[in-house]
Amino acid sequence: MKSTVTTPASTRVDSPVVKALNLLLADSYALMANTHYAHWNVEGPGFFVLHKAFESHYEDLFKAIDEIAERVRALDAYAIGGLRNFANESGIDELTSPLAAKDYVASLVVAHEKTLQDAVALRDAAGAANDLETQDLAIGRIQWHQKTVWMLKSYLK
Amino acid sequence: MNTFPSLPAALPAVACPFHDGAATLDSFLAGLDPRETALFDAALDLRSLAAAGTDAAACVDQLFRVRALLGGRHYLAFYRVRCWARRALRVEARPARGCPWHGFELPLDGARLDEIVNSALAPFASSTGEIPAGAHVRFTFASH
Ligand SMILES: [Fe+2]
Repeated sequence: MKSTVTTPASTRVDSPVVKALNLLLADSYALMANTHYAHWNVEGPGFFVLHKAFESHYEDLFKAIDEIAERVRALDAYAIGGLRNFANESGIDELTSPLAAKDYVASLVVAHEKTLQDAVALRDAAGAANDLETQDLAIGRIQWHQKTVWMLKSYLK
Repeated sequence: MNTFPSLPAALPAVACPFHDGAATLDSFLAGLDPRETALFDAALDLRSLAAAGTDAAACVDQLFRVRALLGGRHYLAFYRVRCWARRALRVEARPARGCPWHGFELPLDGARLDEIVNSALAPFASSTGEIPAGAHVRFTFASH
């Protein structure tokens, strides 16, 4: 079992693992912002259920973002930061105008799928670098996004 | 398994395969029941219009026809199609012949062609709500 202290050289600055971590970080941040937007602005008969569900999602994302960024630091690289940098790096469209309740859910499914794809790429990059700790983090994110996508999709059925 | 031939390269470029690729039309079609002929044929027509890339107004009109036939079913698959349409199609309006066109995004929640036309013309309205007689709206494919 490796420790995070003796970081393999292949996971340091600009390595595929660090790049994948920073992309996951940017998309997780964008997803958190969109989830906040949906939490604040959702309206209609599903308000209470969605308002609460979105709250639990952005709370989880807030914790995850910190873990992802600190994993970048543990690998001797720097985490990206700043809203503009996140927006530039992220592949998720910002929510900027009010939507129908079901469109909030659909747009968040799409954003979770993009973030899930980042986590899968991170899992594979970490596997190739034999960085099991980062791989463990990636697998945790994959499981959470898969579960959240299932819940959101169920609402749309 | 997608049983439809792939869309030609002429279609607007895919910016993000997660929500706006032309492939969203194929995924949407793959989820429909061919025995529901009115909806299935309307969706096939939408795909043909999108693939041809020549008549954007007919494409938008067909998008709304499909939306009406769906009545909220296949919500996520059609949401992806709506996101694709918002990027692939544009609304343009001008107050008179010879004036430059003002471009707009196709609204994600659009449902009727006349509503889109009216909202595109609204900025040209006088203080009494009159639209100039020469004002005009057209639909285009974003990459054309
Ligand atoms: Fe709150």
